[in-house]
Amino acid sequence: MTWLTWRQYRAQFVVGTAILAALCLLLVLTGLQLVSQYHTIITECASSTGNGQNGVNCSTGGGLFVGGPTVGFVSLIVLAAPVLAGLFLGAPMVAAELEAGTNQFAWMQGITRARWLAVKAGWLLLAAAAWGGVLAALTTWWASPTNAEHGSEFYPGRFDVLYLVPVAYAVFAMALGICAGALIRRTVPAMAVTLGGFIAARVAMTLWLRPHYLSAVTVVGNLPAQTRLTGSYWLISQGTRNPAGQLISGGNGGPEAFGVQLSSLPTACAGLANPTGGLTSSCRAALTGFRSFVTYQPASRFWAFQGIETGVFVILAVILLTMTAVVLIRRDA
Amino acid sequence: MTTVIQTRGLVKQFRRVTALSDCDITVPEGCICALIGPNGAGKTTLLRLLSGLARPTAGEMSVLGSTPRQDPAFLAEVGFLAQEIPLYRRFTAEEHIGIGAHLNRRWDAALVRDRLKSLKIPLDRAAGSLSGGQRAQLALTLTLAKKPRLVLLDEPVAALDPLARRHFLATMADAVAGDGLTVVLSSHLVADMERVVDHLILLSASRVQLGGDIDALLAEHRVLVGPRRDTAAIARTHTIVQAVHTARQTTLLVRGNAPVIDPAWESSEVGLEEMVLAYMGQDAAPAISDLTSVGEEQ
Repeated sequence: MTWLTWRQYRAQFVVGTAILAALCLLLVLTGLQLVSQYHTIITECASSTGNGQNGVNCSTGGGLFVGGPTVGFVSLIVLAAPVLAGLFLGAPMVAAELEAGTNQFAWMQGITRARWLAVKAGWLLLAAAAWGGVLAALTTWWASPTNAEHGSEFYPGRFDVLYLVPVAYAVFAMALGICAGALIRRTVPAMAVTLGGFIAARVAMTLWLRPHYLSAVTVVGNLPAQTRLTGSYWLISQGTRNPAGQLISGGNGGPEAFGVQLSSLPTACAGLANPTGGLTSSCRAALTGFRSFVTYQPASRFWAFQGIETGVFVILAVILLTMTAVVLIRRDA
Repeated sequence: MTTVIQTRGLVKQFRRVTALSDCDITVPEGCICALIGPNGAGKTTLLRLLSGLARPTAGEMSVLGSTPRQDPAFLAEVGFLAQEIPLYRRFTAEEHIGIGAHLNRRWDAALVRDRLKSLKIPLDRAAGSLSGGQRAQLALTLTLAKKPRLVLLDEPVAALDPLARRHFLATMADAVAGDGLTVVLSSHLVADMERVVDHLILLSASRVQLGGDIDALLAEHRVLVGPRRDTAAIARTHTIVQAVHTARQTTLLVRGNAPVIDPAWESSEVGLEEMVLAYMGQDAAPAISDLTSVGEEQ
């Protein structure tokens, strides 16, 4: 069976390896660029405390920027890469055989359908894991200067291309493709469902489930003291509530203080509109009951989240493969 | 004689369509059995049930002493060639031999190479680029290379020209001789098969209409021709399979060996094709019966 699998996927293996090599080259070239930019800035700042040539304020780190248009482009490619395995190898695995009728040839040889599926799917899942793993390893190296700069490892879009999770995404995409092919029995519709299903699963997990893997930490401060966090955390939400518990907003263009519109604050604080107007004691007293809050996932949970997300997608893959096995073994060929 | 296939009340239903109902057949070891029936009669369904590729809705089957199932021991004994002659289009004959060698415990690669060589089928060309006849021959040879005890062939000659048909059936007959191999092959035409088969199962409208050894079946049937008259007297001693009336004459196909006493009937032997067509017509739509009577009038 291994021989047949290899023979059937030889061409795809070569193409896949070529694409992977091209992606690796892209990552290495842009990655080296990022690293050298980063080192230039660091060494400049080591020799002067003023502003460096790149417009960086060396004492605060303000204006520090490495990368360029390549960062967004490469991130997008690495985000999309896992699904390719499911589209071009997973979806046709069963569907193309059913379409050509060759399953009637393969399943009448001296091996059971269960074994046929186990070996074939096993190798393809391994290939998907390798595909995701190589990309994830290289991307993790590639992203280290920008991560150091922004402390952004934990943010959606970054989290998704680093360390473990891309491996799980690729395995999930492969399982989804195989299952869609077995259920739908036609390659092109199965590919469409794989693409749609992958995007839906990833978006749903990222937007709605991931923030709740562990209950977020909320820090509350009484105005005028404001809550500030440092380091690499994942900000879920922040804002200010008035004593009635209503969320008061800012950013509407009017004069602001503490990140909220002045009109939402007590009239005693109207003086804050004047840049020189200090915090009067009457304003300070009127602010009693106004609270600012920050809800976030602390950086220390990064690995727990990577583990949970990986586990969730691996479990989804196992469910899909079990469905495939049941369908192939129980349904008429 | 040992029985290779025995089914009891086999039923296969697809949603609302009944593809096969109440199917009882017996196939003895070592015979070449033709499964004859019009398109849509349930031939493919029956073969797929026997091969284990599909499961029956109801009924029992015994194939080589066990129920068809996904098990290496069963699969090793049964060869199946589907109607569309499925081969991997981009694989060469040699690569197909490789697949068989890797997936079967018993595999006669030399047999395939020898046979393909004698048929002048190249080993190194993709199956997709071979002619229909060559593909069918390759697929049959691969089916036989497993050294199965039972071979099920679904309309193997339907897509072939007359010469390729003859070659194909000769290859098959060759393989059966002396091996104790049992073959069941389906077709909607009996003419191709007449020379090689010795057993017949007639399926029509998803039911078995007739089954048994061809010589015995032919001996049991005869054609009676006489002036147009009521057939009630004959019906008492014989089963009337088909009655065709023209203005002056009545032609009957009857089953049963009782003597026909009425001298008005002229009795003669029946041909295989004639008998098969009569049984198929029995259950077919009226249009087809009309066609038969038109043929009689000419």
